[in-house]
Formats: sequence, C-alpha cells, structure tokens
Amino acid sequence: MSQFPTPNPPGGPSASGLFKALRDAGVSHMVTVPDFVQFALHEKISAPDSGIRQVFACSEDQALTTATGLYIGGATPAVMVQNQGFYKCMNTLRATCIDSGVPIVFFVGQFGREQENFGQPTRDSSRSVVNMMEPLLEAIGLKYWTIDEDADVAKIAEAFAHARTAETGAVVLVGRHVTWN
Amino acid sequence: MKIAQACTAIAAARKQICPQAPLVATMTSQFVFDMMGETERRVDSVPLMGGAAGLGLGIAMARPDLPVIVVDGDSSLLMELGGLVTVVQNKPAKFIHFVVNNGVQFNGIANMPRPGSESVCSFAEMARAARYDDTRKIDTVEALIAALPDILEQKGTTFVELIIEPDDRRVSAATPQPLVPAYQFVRMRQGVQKLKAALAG
Repeated sequence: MSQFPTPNPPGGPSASGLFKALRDAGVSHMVTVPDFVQFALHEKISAPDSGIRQVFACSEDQALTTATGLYIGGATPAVMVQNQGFYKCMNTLRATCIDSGVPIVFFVGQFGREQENFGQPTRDSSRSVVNMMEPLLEAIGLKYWTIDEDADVAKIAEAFAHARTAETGAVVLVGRHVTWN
Repeated sequence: MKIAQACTAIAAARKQICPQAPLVATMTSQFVFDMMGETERRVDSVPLMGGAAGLGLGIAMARPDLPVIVVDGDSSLLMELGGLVTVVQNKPAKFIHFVVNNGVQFNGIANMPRPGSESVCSFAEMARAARYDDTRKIDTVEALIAALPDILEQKGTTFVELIIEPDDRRVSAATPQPLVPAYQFVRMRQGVQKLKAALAG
C-alpha cells in the first residue's frame, strides 16, 4: 500500500453553491465542530462579509444546544459537523429536534468515504463510519438529502422547508469533499 | 445552603433586577422553580443532562440585549465540561452561569456519588481556567443574597459555584422510586415554544 495519500478525484459540490443555498434559506449562524469534508464551506462562511456567523463549539452536543438556544432567541441557525460527531450527539438530537420540535438542518460530512464508493450508495461503503449513516437516520425518523455534486445542491431548499414545516431536524449528507470554488 | 434557598434567592433577584432575563434550568433546580411558580421566560434542559449552558449561550448570542441566567447541575456540567470553553469562545454579552455543586447524582432520590466529589474538584477554578470574566464560589445563602445584585449586573461571562447540601435521600428498598411523570418528556418542547414566543413578543 502506498504511503502517499490518494489525490482527491474531480467532483463534489462547490463551496459557492452550498453557501448560496445557506443564504437563500436565511441562515444567520452556522454552529459547528469543524468537518474535514467541508473545509471550503467553512472558509466561505468565515469571510468577514459572509453574512453568516460561524460559531465554534467544543462538541457536537454543545453545537446542537447552542443552535437550539439561537433558535429560541429568534435566529436561524444550521449545524455543520462530521459523521462521527453526528453519531456522538444522538441524545441531544433526540431531546432538541425530535422531542422539542426544533427545526435544525444539519450539514454532515461523510468523512472517510472511499473513492470506490463514489457514485454508489453510501450504505455499500466498506467503512462503518460511512455506511451506518443512512440506516441510522431512517431508524430515528429523520429525512435526509444526499449532496455529491453541484447538481444536487438545489435539494438543500427542500431540507430547510421540511425542517420548518415538520418541526424537526433534517440532514444534508455531504458525500464528497466540497470544492474550493 | 439548600437548593431551595439558592433558587429562591436567584428568583427573587431576577424579579427585582432583570425580570426580562431568560432562565435556563436543569435537574433539581427545575423542580424547585416549579414549586415556586417561577415559570416565566424559562426553558429546561430535560431530559438532557449537559445541555443547559449551550441553550443559554445560544439565547444570549441571539439576544445580546438581555442577560441570560443558567442554573446548571454539577454532574450535568461535567458531561459537557468543554462547554465552559465554548461559552467563553463566543463572548456572550451577559451570561450568568450558576452551577449547583451538591456532589451527588439523583439528588434527593438516590444520592449517588458524583465523580470528583471525593477529590473536591473546583468548578469555579475550572471556569476561571476557561477564562470566564468573573468566577465565584458561594457557600451560604446570606452570601448569595448579598452578591446577587452585583452578579446580575455583570457584563460578559460570570460563573458562580454554589456549594449546596444534598437533599435527603428518599428512595431505598423500602421506598422504591416512582415512575417518571409524563410531563418530564414534554416540558422542554413547551418551554422552547413559550420562551421563543415571549422573546419574539
């Protein structure tokens, strides 16, 4: 096995496309534990004139409770985390979005997805950190939208609309590294 | 100091000094505030240990014009101890964070020992290390009553460790614990809706 990392193949949603979707949805704060898959989107949001405040938390549970407080106070937060962090905060997700009806949209990076799985269902990934995600979301009754390319970005508006009308969480699964354009 | 005394003092000072301040409670304090009728502008982190500081931080960031009062539990805070750093990192305008240090879990029910109770870990020192603007440790109700006007007028991040005597244990083989009331599973949803509406009004 090569000791050198495999280059990231072309493809993936663009930071500018995802950022526009956030602005169109009226997002005021992006509460986050930073995600390896969405570095380019983090950078886009952190620009001084982005119009979205990036809020860093030490854990995904804190990200979610802080987002809930922002919602109570009248803001429109979203939460950006990695798949590992999403798994970690299940009880907080249960208490806030599911039991308390807080409409948060999560941007979850599918960290660890292997190149051979690109273009295939993530549940066929050889890596548990990737292949457990969609079955988990189905088990807890949260709807999700998969975003692998720019052509998928239009689906993000559906996630925000669903979270608002159903008063629950909604999950955008970012399956490829976000591109820096 | 007993928790009922501490919550009574906090509620009285809130009424007098900052009645518009949202109140975030959890664990035993929520029941004490219930008994006192202290329900206005309040949300509880329940059943959710570790969530109170984050809820308060989010409210404080969305509403920097208002002080936000959090009455946390010691075991709850330990579950999300990094939350102290998250709070300071995000610089809320007026964030008052009390922690009820009674040294036990399931206060007044089974009084199980809390990790760190035997080594007497210091929450005020941990908050100081996280760089809260003001940290205090208070162990009598008289000292709390005297300090509250100043505490509630503080700007930035204030942390107050309250040294609390646990309530008497009331569950044993002879008196098994009752079922958890259904209200415990809907009160956070109701609190979120009511507080959001109050802050929007």
